[in-house]
Amino acid sequence: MSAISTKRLQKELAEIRKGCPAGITLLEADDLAVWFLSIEVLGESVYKGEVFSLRFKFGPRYPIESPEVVFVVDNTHQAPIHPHVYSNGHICASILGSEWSPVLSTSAVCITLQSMLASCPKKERPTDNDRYVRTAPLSPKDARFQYHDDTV
Amino acid sequence: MSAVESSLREIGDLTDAEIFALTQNIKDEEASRNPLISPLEPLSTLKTEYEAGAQAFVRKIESLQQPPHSFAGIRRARGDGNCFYTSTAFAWISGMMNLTSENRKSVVESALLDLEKSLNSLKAVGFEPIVYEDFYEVLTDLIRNILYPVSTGTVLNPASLLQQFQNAETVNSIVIFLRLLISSYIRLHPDDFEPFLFNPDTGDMVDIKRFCEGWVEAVGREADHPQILALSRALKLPIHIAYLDRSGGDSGTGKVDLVEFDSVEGETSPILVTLLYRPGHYDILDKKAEEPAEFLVS
Repeated sequence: MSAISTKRLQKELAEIRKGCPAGITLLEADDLAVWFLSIEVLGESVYKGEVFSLRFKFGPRYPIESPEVVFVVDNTHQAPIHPHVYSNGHICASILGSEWSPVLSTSAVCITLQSMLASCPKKERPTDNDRYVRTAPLSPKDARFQYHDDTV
Repeated sequence: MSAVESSLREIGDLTDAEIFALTQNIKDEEASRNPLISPLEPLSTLKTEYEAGAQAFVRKIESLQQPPHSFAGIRRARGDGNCFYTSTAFAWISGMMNLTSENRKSVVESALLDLEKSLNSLKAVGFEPIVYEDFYEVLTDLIRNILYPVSTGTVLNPASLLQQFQNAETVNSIVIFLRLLISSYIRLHPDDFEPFLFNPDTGDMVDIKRFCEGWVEAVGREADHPQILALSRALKLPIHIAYLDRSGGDSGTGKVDLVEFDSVEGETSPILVTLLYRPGHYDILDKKAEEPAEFLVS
């Protein structure tokens, strides 16, 4: 990690430990470069009662470069069924790619994803889910997404 | 099916957007091989590059070399989508260094004071200190280094400034601070900017929030008039852009369009930044043709 990324992550972690936004919980950040957070949509939504887990991986160029953010998919976790979320947990959101800005912090990313879920009217996988998942790179940061719309 | 066969088959399936993305990747890779800021070179070198091709460009470069412009050198910036910001930062800081010693002190002190005040604007539009304070520190440390030996033990000189601008972390931090400064300036002066904000990809009008998030704060998105104007005002720094394009045609007079972003009427600045714009790219213009001899020795 570079000096800037370590400094920034330590500050973000201290703030998150003081208190997360509603519906967001820090699960684990033993390694400063890999954090797990859970998110759920509070109030009425198609995901009522579901809790998802997000994994953030921060590279040495964070926050100048975006973190790698995926929904955890394993025996106990599923990715939400959403038009911008692939079944392998990869998320197609411009703020995690071409529109990343260091203004966005870990909690800001969580809030954005939370509202992306909250505003979803119908549970559906992306139309190209099968093709994408078959050939997807290990990290979504190596994928070149065509962002489906401007709202996320 | 082997991995190679599978990837070959996939290339055939690519959409135009994916092919564009692939080309962009190749361009990004090329860009990363160039220095973030290069040493000065004579403007005539650039002219030579166009001699076999666009005569309109050759004529315009010649006219930049002649009075009243009298530019002799070009300092290239890496074409990574941040070149406007990197170029302006370098030219601004080096402009402060080149002032006479008594002028230099007051200009540097007032630049630092203005930057400190600008933090209030950043807070006012809702940026958290956590997202800007580290970047602010990098920029202000460098500017303070013009007058005071900060951590390095020596004050900034032309060679060490160029060296600082080879450090990606330093340059990126400065670029991001300038982007946040511009965003806060635009957000706090909506009447001056709102009517002129367009999505550069589609040409549609966009609101201030969308423009700032998508084309100012986003890393790697190139600057256009609104960003240049906002930065010029926020830093009280006149920025002139010489447009090197095909306007006027190959047989034209070679007159160069110089667009002058002058901070605020009535205010005079001892520093002037002049950039050369070629479609999609900004470099710095200089009255000198190359680095001074003592620079090369040190």
